[in-house]
Amino acid sequence: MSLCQPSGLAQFVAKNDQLQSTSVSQKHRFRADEPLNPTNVPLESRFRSPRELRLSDALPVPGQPLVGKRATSSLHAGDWSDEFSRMKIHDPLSFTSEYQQLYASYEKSQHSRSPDVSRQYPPTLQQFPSQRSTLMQRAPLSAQHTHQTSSGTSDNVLEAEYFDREFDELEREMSSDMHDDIEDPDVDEQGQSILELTAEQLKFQQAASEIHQRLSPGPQTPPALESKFQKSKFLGLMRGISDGVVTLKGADDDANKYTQLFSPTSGELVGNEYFPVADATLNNNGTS
Amino acid sequence: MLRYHMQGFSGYGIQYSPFFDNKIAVASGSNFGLVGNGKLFILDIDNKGRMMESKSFLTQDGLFDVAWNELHESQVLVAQGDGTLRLFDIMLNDYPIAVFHEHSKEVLSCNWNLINKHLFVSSSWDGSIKVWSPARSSSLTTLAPRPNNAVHNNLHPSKNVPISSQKQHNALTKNKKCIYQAQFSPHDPNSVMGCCSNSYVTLFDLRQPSNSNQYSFLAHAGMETLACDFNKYRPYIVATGGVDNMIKIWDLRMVRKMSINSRQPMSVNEIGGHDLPVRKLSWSPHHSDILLSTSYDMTCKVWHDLSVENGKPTGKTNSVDPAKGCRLVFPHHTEFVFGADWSLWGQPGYVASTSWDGNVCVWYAFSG
Repeated sequence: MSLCQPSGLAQFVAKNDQLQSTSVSQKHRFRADEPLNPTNVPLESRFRSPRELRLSDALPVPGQPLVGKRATSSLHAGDWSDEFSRMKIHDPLSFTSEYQQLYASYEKSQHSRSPDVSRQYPPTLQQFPSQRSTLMQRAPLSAQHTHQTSSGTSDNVLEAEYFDREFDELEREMSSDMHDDIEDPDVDEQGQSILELTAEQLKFQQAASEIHQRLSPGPQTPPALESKFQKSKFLGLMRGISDGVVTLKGADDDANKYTQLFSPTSGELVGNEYFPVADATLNNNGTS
Repeated sequence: MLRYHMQGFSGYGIQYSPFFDNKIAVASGSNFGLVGNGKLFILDIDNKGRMMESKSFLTQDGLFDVAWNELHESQVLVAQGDGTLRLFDIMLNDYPIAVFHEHSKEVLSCNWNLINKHLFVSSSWDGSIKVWSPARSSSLTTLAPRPNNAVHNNLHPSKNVPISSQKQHNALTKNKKCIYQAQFSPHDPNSVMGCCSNSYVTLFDLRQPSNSNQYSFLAHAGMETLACDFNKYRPYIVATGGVDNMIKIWDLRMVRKMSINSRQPMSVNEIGGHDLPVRKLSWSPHHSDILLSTSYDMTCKVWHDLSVENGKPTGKTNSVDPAKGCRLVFPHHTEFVFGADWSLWGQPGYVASTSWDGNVCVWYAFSG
């Protein structure tokens, strides 16, 4: 199996592959010195195997015509295998035999390492939440198909049950992740307080937004100034105010008197704390 | 270069003491002066060249400008965001010795009269300039630029032409009353200059009745004029800086003559060397043709006015010079630079500058 995992679906399948190879019963633990068993070989090999059509039907295989796939479903597996092995297809664009041999040896070395390698990449699924939607759309299809095609042997039944269990677990995991995303309404609820800004706070936000827009580096900004703008704390504050992350905070004794900046979402003070100073002179407060 | 960092405060105004060669007063505000306290810092430079705080006064609102009392070596005046001016004595603690409260909005500048040293002037967001005496809590006089000079359109005198109808230029048409800076002339104790957000610069004569005490000219093509300064050696020469990133130098003799005839005067020199609006200008106290500017582009620049040589006009502008007459760029501030002042002491050319990055820097303007 290639290390490159271009899509969420491929990652999901890889995870499934890994789960199968580390089965609870230890029955199908992969060993490099054992003869290849269709149930524990990596996925890419199974695409080529006539007995393992479960996942390959769910996945479009590059270079393999879909018509051929549909035809195999009406044939016995053995007949299809014989017929397929007799086929000689000449591909003018195929790689040279030397390259194919080298690639086969590379693949072999990768297969022997695959459980460890795939263990190194589990966070990938969490790192790209946008891929989860694709995964959610396709995963039930492959699961259903697995059920239909793997009802033959007891091994397959056990495997299917295990797969279902693991799939349910994965689904729960994903739904909890989704729930984390849906927790945004909490932020929105707090965001409601941003929307309930006073007229003064809104004016402040508008002014900050104008300043930020006018001073954002553009194509005509000199490079020296652009780097200063990027490091500018003032422009960072203006961006925060225009985004509603920071706003004015009223004084404790007079809500209409703004003396500090704070974050309406976290309630934390931003910038300097305000210290009340008596409006007095040395002549009339007797301290001179 | 010497540096002092005002922790948590952004510098707005700075001035060397006229009495001590090692004292600098800095007006500052917390949270970039947007909200919160202000603080007046008195910084001393010791014999080892270190700059340190010798005194500070916390105020209830941000401070936008500072001016030393020309008659008293320990008194400093500050312009505050709550509409007050406060006079502090740096030998005392905590509170000011006098408060002057007439402005209805932020006081943006204050300046002590260098000739009649019993007077100081202030300008405010409320559109007025006030002349004060430290001995009186109420102002001596209030000056206001005439509103009818806001936009002078010779073709259609009855119709005000908007500067721009584009949405992104909305800010240009706001706050048209704000007077960013007012200053006494160092040559005439009765002459006051103020620059306004409607782009006009107005010169007042305190001796004249109010109906004829002023004349104005459009300085920066409708854009806000943020800074102005009298030349210390040439009484008729003033410099202005604006939102159009330009520094313009004007001959008041020409300006007065043209404005009497309702015509727009021309500047005698133009310097377009900043990337963003010019915030502060200061002619050198030692040279008649050297000018210091600060800008929102986070630099201070020192300029040579090429329109004059040995006191005589050359007929040139700074555009003839490849460097536009720029003699030095001070790039070490990391936020908008608001204040700068020339040292009156020692070898000519030392400058103190302060910025929203909270740093006060002392540097030499002719090191290049």
